[in-house]
Amino acid sequence: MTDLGYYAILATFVVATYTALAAILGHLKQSPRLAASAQYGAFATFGTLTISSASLVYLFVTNDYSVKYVQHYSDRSMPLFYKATSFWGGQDGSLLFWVWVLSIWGAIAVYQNRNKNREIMPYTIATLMVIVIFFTVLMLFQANPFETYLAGAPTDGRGLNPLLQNPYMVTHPPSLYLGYIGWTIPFTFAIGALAHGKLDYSWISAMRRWCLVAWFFLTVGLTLGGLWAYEELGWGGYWAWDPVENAAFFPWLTGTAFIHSVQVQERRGMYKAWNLVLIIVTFILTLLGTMMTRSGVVQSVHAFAQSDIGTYFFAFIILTVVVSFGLLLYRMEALRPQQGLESILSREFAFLVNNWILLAAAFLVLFGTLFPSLYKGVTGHEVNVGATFFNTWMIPIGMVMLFLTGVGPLLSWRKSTAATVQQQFTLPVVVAAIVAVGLWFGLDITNWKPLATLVLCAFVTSTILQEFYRGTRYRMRNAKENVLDAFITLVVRARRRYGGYVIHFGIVLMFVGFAGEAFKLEEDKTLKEGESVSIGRYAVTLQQLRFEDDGQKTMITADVAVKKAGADMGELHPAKWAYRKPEDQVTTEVSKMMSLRDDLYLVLGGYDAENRLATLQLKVNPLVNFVWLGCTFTMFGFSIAVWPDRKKQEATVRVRRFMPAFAGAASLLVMVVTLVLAFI
Amino acid sequence: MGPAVKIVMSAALILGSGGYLLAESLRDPDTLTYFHGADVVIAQPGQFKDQRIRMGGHVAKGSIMQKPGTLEYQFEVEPVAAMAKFPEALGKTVTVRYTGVVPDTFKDDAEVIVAGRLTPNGAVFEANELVAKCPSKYEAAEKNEKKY
Repeated sequence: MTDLGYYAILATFVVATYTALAAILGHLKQSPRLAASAQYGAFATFGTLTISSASLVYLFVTNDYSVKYVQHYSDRSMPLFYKATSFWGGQDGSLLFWVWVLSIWGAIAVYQNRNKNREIMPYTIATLMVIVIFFTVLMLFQANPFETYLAGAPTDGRGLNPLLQNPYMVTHPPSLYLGYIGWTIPFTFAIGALAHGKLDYSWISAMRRWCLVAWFFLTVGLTLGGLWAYEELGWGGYWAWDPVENAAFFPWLTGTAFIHSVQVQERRGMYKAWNLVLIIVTFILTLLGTMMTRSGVVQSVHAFAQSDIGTYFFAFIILTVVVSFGLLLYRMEALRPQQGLESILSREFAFLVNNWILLAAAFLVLFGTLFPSLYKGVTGHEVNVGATFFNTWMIPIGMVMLFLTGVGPLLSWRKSTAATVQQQFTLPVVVAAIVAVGLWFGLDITNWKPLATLVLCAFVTSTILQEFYRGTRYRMRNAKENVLDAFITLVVRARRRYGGYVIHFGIVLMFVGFAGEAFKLEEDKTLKEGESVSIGRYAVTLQQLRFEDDGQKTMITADVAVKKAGADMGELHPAKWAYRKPEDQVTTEVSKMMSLRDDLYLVLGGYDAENRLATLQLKVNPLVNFVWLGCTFTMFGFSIAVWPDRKKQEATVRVRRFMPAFAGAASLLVMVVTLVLAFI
Repeated sequence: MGPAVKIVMSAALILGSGGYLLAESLRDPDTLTYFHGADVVIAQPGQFKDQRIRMGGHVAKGSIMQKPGTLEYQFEVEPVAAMAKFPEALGKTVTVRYTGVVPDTFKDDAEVIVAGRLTPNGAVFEANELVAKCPSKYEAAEKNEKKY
């Protein structure tokens, strides 16, 4: 199996090289046979990489510990399920997973366009293949997941870190990868358009849905990562500006900017070059993120996986920059805007500001993440950039973004008149003012950050509701429909617009959750059995400390009785589990009581078996569940926005319908599986 | 003024003020902290008066002490030989005091990074942040260091 897997990677390299050449030659020589051959080549790389991935999974499942990668990341005692998913648990396998996902996306994109976009597809396929070649070279020379022990193969593996043996770690990486790698497809279309010179709107309409799909999976992946941190790591939060998280966040920011500004090109023929810059930057940031998390570039203070793949990535990034921006400069003449900006009170200007803000955010996160490495390179001193840096900058930036979420969609294209501005914004401003007064005097919230955030949330929510209300009322009057019919037809007729609003509402809910951060409570307390401590409206009593062993691990559990505002709420069981394998690995098992208003979050920080003492970390996290709720709304909005129109009876309509349906169904499945596994 | 001058001036203004704000936000001692190996702290303790730093090293075997019934810890940190800039500091240790919940990975020989200050006489490192790491493993290890 190791040979099969390895030779499948080698075969991928050969096939991808052939495909890239066939695509370009086929185009230059106008040979339909070569062009068709290139399409099959793209499908073939999917086939060979699937064989390779399947071999690796097979090796994991059959406990073949002569393979180094399998030996490092699994052991016999692990459940079958986690053995299979150890596939992406380490560096070498995760690279194979990366390129396998790319080959899936690539095959779908090529199939979709088999009869369309004939001009740009050859270059698109070639670009795709060059990226595949890069990853196969990386695996063949630097990170071969099929490397075996030459002699004395161990009979058992070292085991996967228990923190990773968790439903979130099964769903979070694939979702993140699907999103992350999804941005490659729009990028290949952009390069295809640039290389061929066909720079009208066709390349954008070819990949518009892909952007939404990539954005969607990235958003879900980031949220699942946050959920995992919150449930498993036991520090009570979901985002810590860790370089690994940041790496997935930069492309999210630039990708979000791209999704918005392509609409300006669609409507007004502006920002053409800018859109190309955005998608190129987004792709480069995904490469940079992949490199950062794997090469030890960022964690210079305590490098983990020191390896040479950083050099390879660096070279490939330079190549990408030179080729992409070189092509862009070469085609600059064709990218002149068809029209200019007419007014600051226009949607295109709001989108431009949105772009600047998102780009500034991406730059700041990138700067804060890379600063320690740059500083060390220049001065030789090692420094650390704390979370305060990110929070100082990102909180105000987030608020501006939130504000624009409300304002942008209500401004007209070209120019809004004073009358339309008044008509659109009177109600939302009044609602925001009422909420502000209510929060200040009613709930005594005087800290400006949560206050401003919540007021903005109210403002944006009312702009969205107003849109739905006005649209429905309009249909009821003009088409003489009842409320439900009018509402449904409204959404179905303009799915992108109303799906977009639902996504925006999801983002608003997430911001409500972020605002809750400002009110969190924290306390550490060592308790004897029978003693109590109170935090906020909760009072907790340590009933007893329990010690058990299940063969795989020793479990130390604190039985804690909880009262909320005087009422009995049952028991929580924060615990520590000491695993036998990997040796002496201890995990902290968080126990929490969830409600929409707040979570009571308990961690067993330490214990003293002799004196029957338990040290509890108590946290109250207000509004935190709004973050997960917001993500669910975003998923729902996405399903509406991406659903294809039934009217267009093109040959490819079936595929177009299939893909988003598949993506939606797959992600819902992922989410449901996660939740079910998490709550049982 | 021509449009080019305007663009250059506004770009200079934005970059200038942005750069100033950026530099200013990095001056906060909680934001930017210097990292040093334990050997540097042992060899030149005077260098770190009145300065919050992060110090890295290994937990000396058998040195972890906990005051019963509390979260007060005291332990010795020894330099990492492979990374030491001052070989004369090898074999010596820095005494660290820390109050709070320790990460699961905190044990003998673990690689630790502590953030805090040296006491004025240079005898003890008073830490208010403790990050510990089990022998390295991609991802797992990276994620473990999060905010303890």
